[in-house]
Amino acid sequence: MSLRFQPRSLLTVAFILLFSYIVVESSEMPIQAKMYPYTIGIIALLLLAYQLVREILPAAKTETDKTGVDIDFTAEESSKQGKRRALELFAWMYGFALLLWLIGFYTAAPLMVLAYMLRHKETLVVTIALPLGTGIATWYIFGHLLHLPFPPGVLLEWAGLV
Amino acid sequence: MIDAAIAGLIGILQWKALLLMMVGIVISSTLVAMPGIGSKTAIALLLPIAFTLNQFEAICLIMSVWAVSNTANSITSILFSVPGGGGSQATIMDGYPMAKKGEAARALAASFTSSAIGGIIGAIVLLVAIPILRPLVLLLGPPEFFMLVMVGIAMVGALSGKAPVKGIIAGGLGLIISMVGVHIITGLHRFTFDQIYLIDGFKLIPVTIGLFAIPELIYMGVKGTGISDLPLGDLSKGRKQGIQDAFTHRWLILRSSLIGVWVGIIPGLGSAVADWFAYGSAKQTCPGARETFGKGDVRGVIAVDAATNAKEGGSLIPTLAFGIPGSSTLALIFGGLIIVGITPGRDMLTKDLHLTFSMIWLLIIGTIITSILCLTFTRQLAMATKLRPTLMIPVILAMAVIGSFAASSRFEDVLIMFAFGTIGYFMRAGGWPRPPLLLGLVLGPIAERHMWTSVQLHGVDFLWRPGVLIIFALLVVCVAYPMFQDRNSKLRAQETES
Repeated sequence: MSLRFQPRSLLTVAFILLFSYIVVESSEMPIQAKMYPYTIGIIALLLLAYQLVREILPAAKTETDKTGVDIDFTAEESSKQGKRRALELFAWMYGFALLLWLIGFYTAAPLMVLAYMLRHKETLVVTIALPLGTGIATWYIFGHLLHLPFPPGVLLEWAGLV
Repeated sequence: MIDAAIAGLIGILQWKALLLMMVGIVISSTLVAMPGIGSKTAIALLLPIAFTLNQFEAICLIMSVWAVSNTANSITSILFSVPGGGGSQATIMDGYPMAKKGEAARALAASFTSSAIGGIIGAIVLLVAIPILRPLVLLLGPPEFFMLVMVGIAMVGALSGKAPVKGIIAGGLGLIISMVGVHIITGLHRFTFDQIYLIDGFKLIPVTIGLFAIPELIYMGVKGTGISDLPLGDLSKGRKQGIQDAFTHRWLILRSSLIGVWVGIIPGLGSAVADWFAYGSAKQTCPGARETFGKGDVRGVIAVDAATNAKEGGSLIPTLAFGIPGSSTLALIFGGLIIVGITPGRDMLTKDLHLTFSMIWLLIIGTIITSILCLTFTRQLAMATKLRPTLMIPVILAMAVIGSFAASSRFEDVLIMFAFGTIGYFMRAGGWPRPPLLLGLVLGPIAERHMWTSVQLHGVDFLWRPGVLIIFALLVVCVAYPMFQDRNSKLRAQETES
């Protein structure tokens, strides 16, 4: 009987490592602090071991055919193109995070929307209106009305512009 | 109780609260027509605003988004055969064939009217449940509450999808995440990796936005198109007939609503279950339904929409009385309520009864307003299906970032949001349900407090208290029964094939 190890089992292994850390780390805590994580950690590790065995055993089917309450991962998302698009979106997100850190919220939010519009070749009206609307909403609703203390961005601080 | 009912009504009828309710209703009704954006994402994005409001206003804003989300769901189901949410899958069965026969307006009107009546019935059941539950809740102590929390997480985990074990582990993961930060009893820093940011623990809002909004954005981006480009046709002819249909089949609405309430009371069974239960029941009990259901019978639409809206009243029963949210959306609302100073649980049936009544009134008023809104602006709401993801993705991304930052005005929250967005995406890809994780995160501190108090009061023997054993038995039955049924149906299917 040959065992199979699928890439999706990596998440199971990652969870095993996480819960193992929780159990080991909490073992040195006083009883009041360790009882709860210890209990949850050990139960979860037992279930994870069972789950991993089910995933790597060739005959085992791990999932039922019924629809879950969480949205299912679609065939489109599993395809090569789907994964490429997801990767691109992750790049947008982490790029946006970097931009926020560098130039601050007031500039980064409309700039990201503008860049996204240009990347997807939207019409001129939309390309102007949407970033402008985002910028005004960020400044007026969140900055002016809700008084959110947005950080100015390290580059602007460094340049002495704020 | 009458004083509390009046106070609750006055609370949500203040102009600002009423206005926020309308905002919530419009947002909810519009968002469900868009691909991938559900009420959970909308609530997560609105929570930072809710924190600046008083209790009644916060209830109106947060809860109206959730309470009416099942009503406008039917638009895409009936017009385009695309479910607007979990609770509108069965609406397609008869709604879409009706639309194909040129009876879209009739189906939509019947759907909205039965939704309103179902919502009202759900709220009435909640109202009736209060005097029954009050003495029961006062009988329960920390051991029973601890076990109830565990039951809630395990049930949502086990019933939330394709792999029950994964669901329960995801719930455990949420509990573990909730432990990060200062331990209240000892003052010890648990799992903080000596990071100052982690001393306060993970905040609910960035985690929720990351876990739910980011994977949904990726889903939208990958899909690349709106729900439908089909022409909308005539959406006014037959509207009156549809409203009449709902009143003609009032007993069907009552039966289906009670099914919805029952499904709502059980944690973990969501709208996706309520609609099929109601549809199946209607098919079995309505005269001639076996021949006409699936071919455009208005009773199929009425039964489903009454049940899914009535479910919301039922699901508030365990949430408010026992502090056990029955779904991840309710867990999110639960977390939001705690932040504005409302603690679901025993207090909601005693000193905060007026707040419970405000929620009941909101269910009633909200569903009526939503149905009128949907009946009047069906075409405009249906137009939302034509919005391109390329327009929504950057705007929602910007809102997600600002919403996360607003939680505690720290840039680290934005990074945490992105990190949990990545985790949420890989959880979806691996078939790990996310709702139990959120439930564990929200209920974790409550569970630990009850567990420690139980141990202090009774030692480990608290596990052998009759109440705890009864609740544990309930857990075993509720988790094992659907799995057993699933296994049996598969065996039967295999036998039939062979």
